[in-house]
Amino acid sequence: MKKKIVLALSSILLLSLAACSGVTTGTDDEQQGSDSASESTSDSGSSSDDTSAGGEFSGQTIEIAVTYTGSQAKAFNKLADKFMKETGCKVNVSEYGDDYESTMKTRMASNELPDVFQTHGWSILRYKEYLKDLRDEDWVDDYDESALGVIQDDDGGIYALMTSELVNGTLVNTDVCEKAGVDPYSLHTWDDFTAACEKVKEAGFVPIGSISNPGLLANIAGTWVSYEGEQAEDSDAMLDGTWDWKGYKPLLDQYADWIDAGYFYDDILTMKDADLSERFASGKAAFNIGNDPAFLVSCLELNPDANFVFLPTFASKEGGKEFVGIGEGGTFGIFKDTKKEELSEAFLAFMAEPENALALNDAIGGVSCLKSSMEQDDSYALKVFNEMKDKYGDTDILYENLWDRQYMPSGMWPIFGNAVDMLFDDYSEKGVNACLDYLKENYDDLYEISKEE
Amino acid sequence: MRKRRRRYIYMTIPAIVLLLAFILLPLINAVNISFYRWNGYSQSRHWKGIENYTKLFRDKLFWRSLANTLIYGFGSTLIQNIGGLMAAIFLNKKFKGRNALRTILYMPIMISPFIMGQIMYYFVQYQGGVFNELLSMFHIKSIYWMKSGFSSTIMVTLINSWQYMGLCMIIYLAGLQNIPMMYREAARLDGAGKFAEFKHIVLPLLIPSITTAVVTNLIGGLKLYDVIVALSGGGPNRQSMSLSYYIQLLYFNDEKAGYASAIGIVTFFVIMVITLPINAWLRKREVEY
Amino acid sequence: MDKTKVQTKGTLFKETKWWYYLVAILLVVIYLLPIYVLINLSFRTIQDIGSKVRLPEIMNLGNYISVFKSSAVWRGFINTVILMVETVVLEILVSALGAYGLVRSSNRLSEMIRTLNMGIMMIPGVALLVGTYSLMVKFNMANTLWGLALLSAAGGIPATMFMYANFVSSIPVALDEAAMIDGAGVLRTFFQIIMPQLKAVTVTRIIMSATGSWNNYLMPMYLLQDKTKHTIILTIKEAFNTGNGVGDLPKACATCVVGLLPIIVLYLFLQRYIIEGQIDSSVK
Repeated sequence: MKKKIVLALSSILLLSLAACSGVTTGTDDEQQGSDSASESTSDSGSSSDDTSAGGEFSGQTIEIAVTYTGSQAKAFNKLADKFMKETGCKVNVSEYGDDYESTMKTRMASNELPDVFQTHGWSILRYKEYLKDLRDEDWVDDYDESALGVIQDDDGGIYALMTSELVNGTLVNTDVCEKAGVDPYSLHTWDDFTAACEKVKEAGFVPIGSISNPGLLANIAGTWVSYEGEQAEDSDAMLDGTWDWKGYKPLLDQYADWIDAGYFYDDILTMKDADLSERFASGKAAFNIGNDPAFLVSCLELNPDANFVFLPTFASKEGGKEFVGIGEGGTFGIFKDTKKEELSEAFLAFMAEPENALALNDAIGGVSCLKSSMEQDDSYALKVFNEMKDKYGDTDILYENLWDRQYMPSGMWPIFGNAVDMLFDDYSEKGVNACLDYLKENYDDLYEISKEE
Repeated sequence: MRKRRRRYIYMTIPAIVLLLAFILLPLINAVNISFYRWNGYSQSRHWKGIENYTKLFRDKLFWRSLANTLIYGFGSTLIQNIGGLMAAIFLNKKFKGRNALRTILYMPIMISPFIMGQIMYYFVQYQGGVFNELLSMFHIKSIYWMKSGFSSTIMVTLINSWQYMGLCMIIYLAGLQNIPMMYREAARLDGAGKFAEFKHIVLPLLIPSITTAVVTNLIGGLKLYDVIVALSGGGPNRQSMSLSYYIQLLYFNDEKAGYASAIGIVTFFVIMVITLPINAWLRKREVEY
Repeated sequence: MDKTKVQTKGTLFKETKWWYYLVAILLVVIYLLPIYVLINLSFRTIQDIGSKVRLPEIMNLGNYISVFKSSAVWRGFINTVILMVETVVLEILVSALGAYGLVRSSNRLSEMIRTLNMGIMMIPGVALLVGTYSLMVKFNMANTLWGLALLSAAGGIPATMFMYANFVSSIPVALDEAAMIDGAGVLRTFFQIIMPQLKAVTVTRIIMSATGSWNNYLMPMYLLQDKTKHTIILTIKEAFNTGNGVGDLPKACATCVVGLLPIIVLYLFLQRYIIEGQIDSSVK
């Protein structure tokens, strides 16, 4: 009896060893670009087949961690391969996908991070403690003004290379709008938007095709409580911690009205991301608020015939500023205790080159923000962005950092996430007040904490 | 003899070292962290004393998760044990295909609970899930299975119980087969009906099996985690979380590592406080034969 | 009187036969449905995921082909097997030895340790995540399969040692003494006399520990960040990842089927021993 078990186990082992050796020396198919990248680097000991010119870094290995998977990862891996050829080093790309943040947090706790990693918008708020200050790098001068607002710390520190920015606003499925008789470019205020939603609903579609996420409460908040000409302008109070959140209630009330009118998906609280893009791409919903063109790029993968445009986030009052948020796109930082400093810096410089930056941006739906690449940018994201600027013409649009990064203490983002779930669960007057209290309570706490440090 | 004694002690040393290093040390570390406010990745933290512990009494989500955990624990145990016992009685009679059935019922236990949760997610999906698809074949309207925290908790309990029922079934089968036929025949000769025979002969003699099954299920159910991640994500709106899930959420999502540790310690005590008395009580009632 | 009894028994049996089979079939359907859906989905193409119950319109073998070609899957298998073997061997050895030592030295300390042991089984794994991780890093064990094996073995020791202790205590000390008289030392007694008596438990625990190791999710998830070290469970999880909302469900299902295949196949071959082992070990 024991013999049988041993036999079975050993046969599996042998089989898998045989198959493995057969596969690794052969070529991999293109199902996952990741395999090819980590493939050529995991045969340690054997001479690598990617050294052409023996670069100054031949023999060294760096680890790069990214959030990309699927086709985005493929694009990134192509660039990594190119870098390997140019410098003769080895690059291990770790694609963490959905698990990126929790993996990073675990690694930070033990001060054991990859040499280069993506900061996906959190270079200053979260990762700063572990990043090398890069303000003296050559490519810093190449930054466009809009980028500096996002990437530069109060004391002038720059902790990441931002090859592209994400423009945050309202995404529109024009096929659906056409069928509902709505002209997206006529919408300027949230009231206009509500009227449009009603029309979309009557035509049988879901007006707001968003998933429950912090952005719903955080990204659009500025047009209610901060910017010029909006219903409330409490920015100063926010920044010194004295804000009473009164001006925020109208936003929550508006959401409660929308939920009540049935403008969102019925199963919004249990949907998963895959459902979101599937539905938007197949023309089930009209708008997606507080989001960026990267989402459109993935929708186009599912349905290349879909038509989308990009709009700013609307104002809450006639004449108020409309808002386009600027956030980190393809952004990479260097671990401050890395042992491969020069090689990591070389990688960032490599990514800053227009050819490479643009290749990445195209895949991830970012808009270039390095002056040298901006000249040559013709990605989808830039296309929809420019289209918006053209069609909107004379409206005054405000371009600023994402609202919560600018005005809220660090740590508010997940709080907004919890709050929006709470709101969808209970959007009665009581629920709205509970949500408001929750936000204010945490805001006060977090503000206290940020003062301590 | 003394040399033997010492040798016995030496034999236990590897086990003790492993336990100390990988369980007790991290436990102490967890207790340590629970006294701080820490975001889980920064190198700095702030001493907060027992504030994390007082905080959890006021935390509605903690109580909700505790309630859910109790449902997962007791609910799973109840369903699995009753189901398992019925299945064991069913399988105790010989009929064609009995062994095959036994194999099939035990099989889900071999599958990882995480994978099972992943598969079952596609069963309970509102649009396109298998359950609703089957309902529509009978012209019944789709049900939003995971609509509320309560229904999600029930669904997870049911699915977890379904997966592990085979374990109880086997334990009870063993117990049933160990009851000497002569007791049961004696009861029948005395004119006892099937039900009375069950209640007065079979059940008392099954108690050792019941102890094993109940305690194992209870501990497993109270610690439930993998299946929740894949199936409900603790949702909607965090209403179906178990304590284990809540701990992990606090640590990674809310960046409150100290608080998460505190809840971890409390969870441990909760499990102990529930399981030990039940175990002792069942032990006492074991009938010797 | 006996005749009537036999007759009653006879008719009873015939009566119950038909609804027995009905219940049996119902149970089979309920229990095999998820497997059916999984296999069904794995043969689909990515656009064909509307209905999950009916058979696919086109049989798409492409998913399986890419799974078999994927080195990530094979690597996952190898890692899992390595991890499993290391964990099981360590856990069984250490637990059996420890249980024997504890039971035979029956003093207050060993009793305390046994109770402590039971208490440890109740600690939720999540609570120890943070503490364990920093420990592993300090000793350079994070991201290594052997480090994870040590951790998993340690996690399995309470349950295994508990079971072994129960069974060892039912082996009469007379056996030990007989061996002693014959001049065997403690270790020899253990391996040649005691262990053979514990065959049933050993097999059960090997299987439970192996399955547990194969299916382990939490710790490998957080400790093995290097993709080349991923176990098959993690590879499957990644297959279900949607990365930006674009997922490949059919391929994920195919990966899942392939990932589950070894365990299911082993189970089907060994199920008689698995189940009987479970039965034997639950009787004290």
